[in-house]
Amino acid sequence: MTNQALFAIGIFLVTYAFIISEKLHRTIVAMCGGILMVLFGIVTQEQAIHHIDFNTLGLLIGMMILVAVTAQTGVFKYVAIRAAKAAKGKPVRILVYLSIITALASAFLDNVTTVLLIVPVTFSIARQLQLNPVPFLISEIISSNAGGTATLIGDPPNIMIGSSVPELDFMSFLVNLSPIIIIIMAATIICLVLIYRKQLVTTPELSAKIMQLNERDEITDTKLLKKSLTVMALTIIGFMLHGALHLESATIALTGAFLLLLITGEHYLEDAISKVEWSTIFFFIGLFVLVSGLVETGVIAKLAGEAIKLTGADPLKTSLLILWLSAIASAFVDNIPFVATMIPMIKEMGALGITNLEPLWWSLALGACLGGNGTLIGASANVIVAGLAAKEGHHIGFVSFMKIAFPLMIMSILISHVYVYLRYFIW
Amino acid sequence: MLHYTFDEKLITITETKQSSDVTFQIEIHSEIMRSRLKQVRSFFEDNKDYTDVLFYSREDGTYEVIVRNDMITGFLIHAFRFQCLTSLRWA
Repeated sequence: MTNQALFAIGIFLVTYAFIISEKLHRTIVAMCGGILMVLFGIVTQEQAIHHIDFNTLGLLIGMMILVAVTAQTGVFKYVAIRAAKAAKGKPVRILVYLSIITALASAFLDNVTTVLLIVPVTFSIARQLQLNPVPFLISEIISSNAGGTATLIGDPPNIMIGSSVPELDFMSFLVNLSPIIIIIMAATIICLVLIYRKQLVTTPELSAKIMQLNERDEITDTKLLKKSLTVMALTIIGFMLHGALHLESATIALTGAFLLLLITGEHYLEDAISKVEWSTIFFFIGLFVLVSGLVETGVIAKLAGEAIKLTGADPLKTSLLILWLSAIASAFVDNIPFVATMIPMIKEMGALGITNLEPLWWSLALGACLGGNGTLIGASANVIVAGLAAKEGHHIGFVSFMKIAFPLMIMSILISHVYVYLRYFIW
Repeated sequence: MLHYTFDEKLITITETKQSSDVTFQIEIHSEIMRSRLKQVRSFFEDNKDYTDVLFYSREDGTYEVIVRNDMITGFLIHAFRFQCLTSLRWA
């Protein structure tokens, strides 16, 4: 191994350690790691820029703008109150409905945005029923990570995989991942109901108060709502057709975002741009450059070679290794840097003899996205909800979350294990 | 403690104290007052504190507002600022 490779590994490991320790903001750490790769001459600036996946960044920015404008209409509160009324104000049913709504929203929006939209209205409904909001919040965390796994745009690992493998378009993700996510969501909701049913008890009077709520009053701007929902629907249709249209997913998302700004006027521009999570965007940029150091020095190829030796280049063994490794790793470290490292490694495995890489990609997507449910630090949505809950006086502890979520995560990976085995190696 | 008054032709406010918060039942008698109350609501819903002031809009056109004890002064000040109240003074 060359000195350059050893330097690259050193910078990568130190950066990774700082990201895990959370002593410094992850964006600053990732950007510093990426910059060190260039300063030490491990990659040139041109190589670094070449490794930044602008499709991933464009897709994230486009969707963030779309959601920022749509959120101003109050539609998400409307849907949540409508669901609570459909549940007749009964807490267990509300938990089920809010979990399903969170999963569905997460499939088409990013998880953090989804929980930021659903958590405030959850506090409101729980207070009206005089219930502890924590069971609802934990169910929403788990549902957002599971729901996000179902589509190309639902979770950053899928966005990165879809962007790196052109043949895996929006419909491929939907066809391969959504059936198993429906099964996992059903099993998870049943478990959550069994766990929380005794805590979720209210009086008929309080349930009746939910039934008196006027959800129509939550809609603040009907014109904007019509425009937002039309553009959102067109964007989702665009995602479904992007493979056939030979357009990248970022092109679809940015077209949707700026079409909406075009028809709503510049009044919304500043606010929408300010709501883009620029720290997340720079986190991605830093990681892409960081991983480029490992790619350019041959470290990734070496690791892929070792993994192939371990599994004997057997696609089933390799798929299951990736599934479980991704799940356990993603439960304890951020899944974004993990996936950023795994993508070039899986591509390298293709060069080393595994002819059909598709099961490997789906195993990575399932493992990395669902693994985030394992602990409170496993995914951004978990950290955000725990932070919001703590701020409002409802503590979600690391261990108390793990007691509920880790077994559910293992259950989801076991279901995925059976699915990958049956779907890609038996049928 | 703050003492407030309101124009009964435009709005009726009754309050119930609980251990950690106060519930205000609000009846609106004019559309101008409804838009003023919406401004108060928008102010508290746009901040980063999700449980300080919770607004519930009812099918019969009335509102229930649950205000955390530490936010009662802030809520009344903003209700006065947006002219839902006619006077506000320290009792």
